[in-house]
Amino acid sequence: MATIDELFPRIGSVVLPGDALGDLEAGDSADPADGPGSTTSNSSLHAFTQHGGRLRLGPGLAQEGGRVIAASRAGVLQGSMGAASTGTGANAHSSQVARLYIASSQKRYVPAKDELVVGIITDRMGEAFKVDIGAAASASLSFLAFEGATKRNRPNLAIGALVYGKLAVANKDMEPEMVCIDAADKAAGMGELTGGYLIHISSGLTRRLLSRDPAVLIALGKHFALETAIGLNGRTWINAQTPQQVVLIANAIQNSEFMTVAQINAMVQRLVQAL
Amino acid sequence: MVTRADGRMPNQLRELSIEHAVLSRADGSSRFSQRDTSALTAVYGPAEVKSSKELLDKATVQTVFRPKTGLAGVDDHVCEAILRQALEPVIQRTANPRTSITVIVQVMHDDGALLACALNSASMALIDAGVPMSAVLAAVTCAWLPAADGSSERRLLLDPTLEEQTAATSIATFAFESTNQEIVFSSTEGQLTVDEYFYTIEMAQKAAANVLAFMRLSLERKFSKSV
Amino acid sequence: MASEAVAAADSVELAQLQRDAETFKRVHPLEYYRRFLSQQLRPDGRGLERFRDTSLSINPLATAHASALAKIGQTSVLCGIKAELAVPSLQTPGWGFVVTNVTFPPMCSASSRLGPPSEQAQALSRLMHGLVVGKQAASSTATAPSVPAPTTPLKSQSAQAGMAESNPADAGARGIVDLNELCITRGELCWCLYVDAVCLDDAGNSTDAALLAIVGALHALVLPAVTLDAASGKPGFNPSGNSTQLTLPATPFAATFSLFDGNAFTLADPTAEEEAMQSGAVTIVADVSSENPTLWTVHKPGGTPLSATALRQCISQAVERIKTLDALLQAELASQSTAME
Repeated sequence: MATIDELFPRIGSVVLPGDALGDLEAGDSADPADGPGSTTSNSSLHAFTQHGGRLRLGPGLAQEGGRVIAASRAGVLQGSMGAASTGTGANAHSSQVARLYIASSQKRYVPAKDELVVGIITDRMGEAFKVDIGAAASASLSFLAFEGATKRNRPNLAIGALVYGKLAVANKDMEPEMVCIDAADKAAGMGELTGGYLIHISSGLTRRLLSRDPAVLIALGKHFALETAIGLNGRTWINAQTPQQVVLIANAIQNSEFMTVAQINAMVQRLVQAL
Repeated sequence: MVTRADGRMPNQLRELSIEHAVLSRADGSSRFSQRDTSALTAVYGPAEVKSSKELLDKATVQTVFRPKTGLAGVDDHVCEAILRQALEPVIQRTANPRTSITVIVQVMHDDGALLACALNSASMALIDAGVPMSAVLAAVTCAWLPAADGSSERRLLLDPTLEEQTAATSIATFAFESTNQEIVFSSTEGQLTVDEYFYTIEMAQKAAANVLAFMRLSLERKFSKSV
Repeated sequence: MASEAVAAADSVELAQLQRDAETFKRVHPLEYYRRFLSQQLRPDGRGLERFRDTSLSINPLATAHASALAKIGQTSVLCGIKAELAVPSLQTPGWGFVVTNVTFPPMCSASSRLGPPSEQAQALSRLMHGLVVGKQAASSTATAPSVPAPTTPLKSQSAQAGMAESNPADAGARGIVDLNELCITRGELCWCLYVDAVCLDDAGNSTDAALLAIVGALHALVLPAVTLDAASGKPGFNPSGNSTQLTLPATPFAATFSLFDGNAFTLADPTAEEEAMQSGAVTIVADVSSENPTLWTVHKPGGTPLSATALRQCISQAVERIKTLDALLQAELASQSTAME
């Protein structure tokens, strides 16, 4: 069983666009310029795929010329090894999936399917709203994509209203489509966001807020009740009982980007005391 | 070996410095300095594109080159065209069709090798913006100067200052991509023999590798802070 | 009977194929080209390294001081030179002026429009100007060639600040024209040459044609003798005096290559159609009058990356091409001088 670090020795290190991270076909004739340790990695990567192991390439990675895995973005190479959901082969490798992605941060949002976003209604077009989600093209949000909406019972959203929803269609060639219902036609927390305050944060910080234990939110939650809607498009909506608390939350989240957990706790403590 | 007015060796670059994400509103920005020569670049995109400039299968790359003072003249427009044409091959334009990627370079100070500095700065700003790219661009300027002591041997100086550039008989600027160190951009002024030209490329290639190594180091530092 | 049916089917198929070829070209222009290029051939019948037929005619215009018409295939560029008397600038009392300009009027192609010069025109003007006057004079932005016709040369040039006069011994910094030769009386009177190249038909590779036309016109230039009237100090033409020709010690020519389909193919002398699809281009300007060819510029304004080896190949092809252009100019000048006699 190969570990992810054996397959990709550069995991955990910073890669630049164009860096070759692994060759799917070459055995031992690897280009030494590929980076430290690439020779050993290539042979085992080749063996890995030969024995039915599968690769999942996440953001920032692409297969070039069908064989070389190259970075298309700068960031830290991350990966994990897991079991394939459909793996039924007898081979030991066949049930393995190597997941690989580049952790980086960017301000501009590129829509991806099933991502939750915070949008601003900019227009009504026929049977749908136009929603600005901070991407190159605005998304459309059908009048019927709300819980309980029918042809007769339309949602009444004003231009400028904030909505929290999921991207049902998002690819590079089509206009993104947003919905405010889940697969069971329930709102599930999505829909119009009333009151509160909208802040803009980087994609890296957004992902940290969405992680299992977002230090800054936990620290804030110890002091007062708060509400958030975290959009992967870099827009996060926050709400609390008093405007002072809202301002505090906004500052705390924005401050936390380059801090450790201990630093975050101290920072939140300081802000709350000043309130 | 003859050293230069500022004490450098002929094949020595000036100290480099990179600042990432210096602008708060831009999607990506960077300031690249080669001692006194310095350029600031902002990148916006992939953003909405004007329908007249929309391309169905790839992103539209737009560049703006702002001189230190005054309005942009012919030379600045030529620089704009060069920047666009040199950056286009390293940007994965098909990843974001029907969008625009705008690169705005503001000259902060010109003390020689300005075009190379602008290209380096734009390259770093694109990375900061997270625009999908197939390689990183690193650029270097070289100058051939008449020999100081009256001998017929000309001297090749890397990363010339403005003073050296004025005294030079030939100036060449190259940009290389990071994957195979191939030539993306080449421009020369003044006469060179074929051998001199290829010698210049060879030296520039080595220097560009150093510039690239510095870019890598700087980005490693940036990411170790944030992740 | 069966064979007749086959033949009939064949001719139908052929007609179909011809129609299909047109359709194919429209739908998949790049793939259409690839099919040709993989056979080492281009749709116009040329090999990949073949340049189109090139011709040069000297002094087709009677109204300009000198002119030349260069044709490369369908591409034609007409260059006219107008000489005016001017006062040298204070910074460069021993120099005359040259203003080089390349224009693409609306008639030359569907893509060029009236109005301010396009990016292509500006870049080409800048390149040509740099070649004509050399590095030192070109580094001054005041000689910006985009200014269509400066009101007076005196005014347009007066902004040249802190510029050193070129030392003729500076091999490597010279242009086609030695600006010292344009000086009549130091600090008082000099020539200002307006070198205007107009692209009449842009069927691709206007760079090579523009430089050929400019070089041809410069070689044809005869400057009348000028004398200063002793009493008034005003300059006047002296019809009996010796008219002068520029020395022009070196004559560079350009050869352009188009990188196609990534850098899978290198096409010499691209047509407009090829230029529209190319992924990059390299223009090599060299002078082959001496034993050892001298590169005046290797201009690759971006596009697909190229290895030094591939570039070396382009340069050796360019040198061969430039030799034929040099011979063409010499032949044209020789026939011109016999016609005069």
